[in-house]
This record gives sequence, C-alpha cells and structure tokens, in this order.
Amino acid sequence: MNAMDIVLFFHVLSAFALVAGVVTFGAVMRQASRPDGAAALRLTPLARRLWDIGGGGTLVLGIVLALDEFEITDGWILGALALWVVAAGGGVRLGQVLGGAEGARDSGVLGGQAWGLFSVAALATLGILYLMVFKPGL
Amino acid sequence: MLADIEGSKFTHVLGAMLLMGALVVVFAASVQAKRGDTPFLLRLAFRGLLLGALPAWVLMRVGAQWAYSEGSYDAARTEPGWIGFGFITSELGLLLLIAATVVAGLASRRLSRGEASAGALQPWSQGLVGVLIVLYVVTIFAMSAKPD
Repeated sequence: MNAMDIVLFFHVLSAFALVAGVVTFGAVMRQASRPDGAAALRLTPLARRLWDIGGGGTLVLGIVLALDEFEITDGWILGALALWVVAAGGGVRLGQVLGGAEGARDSGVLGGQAWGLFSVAALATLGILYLMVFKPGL
Repeated sequence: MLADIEGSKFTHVLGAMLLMGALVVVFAASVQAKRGDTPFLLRLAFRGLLLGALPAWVLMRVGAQWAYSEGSYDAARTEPGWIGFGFITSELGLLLLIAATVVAGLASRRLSRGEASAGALQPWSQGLVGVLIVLYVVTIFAMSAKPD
C-alpha cells in the first residue's frame, strides 16, 4: 500500500460524502413537503456540510489521482470535471434555498425551483459516478 | 464482458453509496430527535432504515455478487482478502441493519402510543446505526486502498 492508495481511499470516502449529501437533501425535501415536516429542515446544515466536504474532496484528490495515473485531458476526466461544476452549482444553490427555509422554519418556500436544483445536482452526481466507473474512451 | 464487470461495479458502488447516505440521514435524525420534534424525527429514522437503507443494501449486495461472478475468483482460487472482508461486513451489516430497523420501528410505534419505554429503545437504534457507519467506513478503506 502506498500514498496514492490512501489518497484513493479519501477520494472514494469524499464521493460517499457527496452522495450522502444528495440523499440528505432528498430526504429533507421529501419530508419537509409534508404538512408536519418542517422539523426535517434541521438536517439541512448536515446536508450542506456533506456536500461541501464531499465536493471539495472529490475534486482535489481526484485531480491528484488523475495527474498520477491518467491524463487530465482524458475525455472522461474532462466530462467529470464539467459535471462536477454543474453539480456543485446546483447543490450549493439548493443548500442556500433550504438554509433560507430552515431559518424561516417554513417548508412552504420549497417549490419547483428547489426540486429543479435537486434534480440537477443528483443527475450530475450520478453522471460523475458513471464516468468514474465506466471510464469511456479509456 | 467488460461492460458487464463495469455494470456490476456501478450497481455495487451506487448501492453502497445510497446505503451510507441513508444511514447518515437516519443517524442525524436520531440525534436531532433528542432536541425536539421527537415523534416526527424518529419516524423519519425508521422510514430511512426500512425504505432507504434496506433496499440500498440489496442493491449493493446484488452488485457485489454480480461482480464476484464476473471475476472468476472461484476457479483461480486467487480471491484477495479484501473481497472476503467485504462479504463478512456486508452480511454482518445486514444483521445489524435488521436489528436497528426493528428497534427503531418499536421506538417509533411506542412513542406514537405515548409509552415511556420508547425513550429507552431509541439510543439502541442510534448506536447500531453508528456502528454500521463505522463498519462501512472500514469496509470502504478495504475496498478502495486494498491493503493486502
């Protein structure tokens, strides 16, 4: 086992945190849409931290791994980077919307925009996972 | 053949990530339940285990078996140690997951009936989920860094 194996472990752990962030966002939104579900908004800070840590870890450690083992200009890596930007934008904005709803303790503000942002973040994350496993073009 | 292996890996990893995500939600809901809105958050924890973690475990396990069957480890008798470790933690994890789900369900039901014993059950469910999270982080280390 060498240093890159440890980097890979933390990269994968970051990816788990990223997906855990998506799952937590989804659970918050699903539960907060219930009439008595405003309490679910209390999980929003956790979802945001998981998203931030997971996003930062996957990007930084992923670039380290790519420079060591692959070409940073490989199509699947560039595709993953583009999807990461899309996912990060959607997830951060969603965190702000949910954070605002949590502050107001009002789940009524969660409408189509929030579900749209969640869909963008979730689908982009799924796309990154697909590229990481299948590595098309390699 | 290659697409099959990658398809099985994708299924396995996606299931494992969803399982971990569901466990994190359940653990956080259990922690938050001590600070108010207890019935709602305990119900959320129970549903997270029943409708999130258990189906995700099935997806993860099906993907693992599919990947294993593509790997021809049986014929070559060259199974690496991390594969055996993964099987042990996934099977042990299922037992803990079922126990946590049953305890969380009992706690949620007793609380909705106003029984005082619900408070005594809740830490057990939370503790089991905490153990599962630690167990799966160690498994992620074994599966990714492959120390042997």
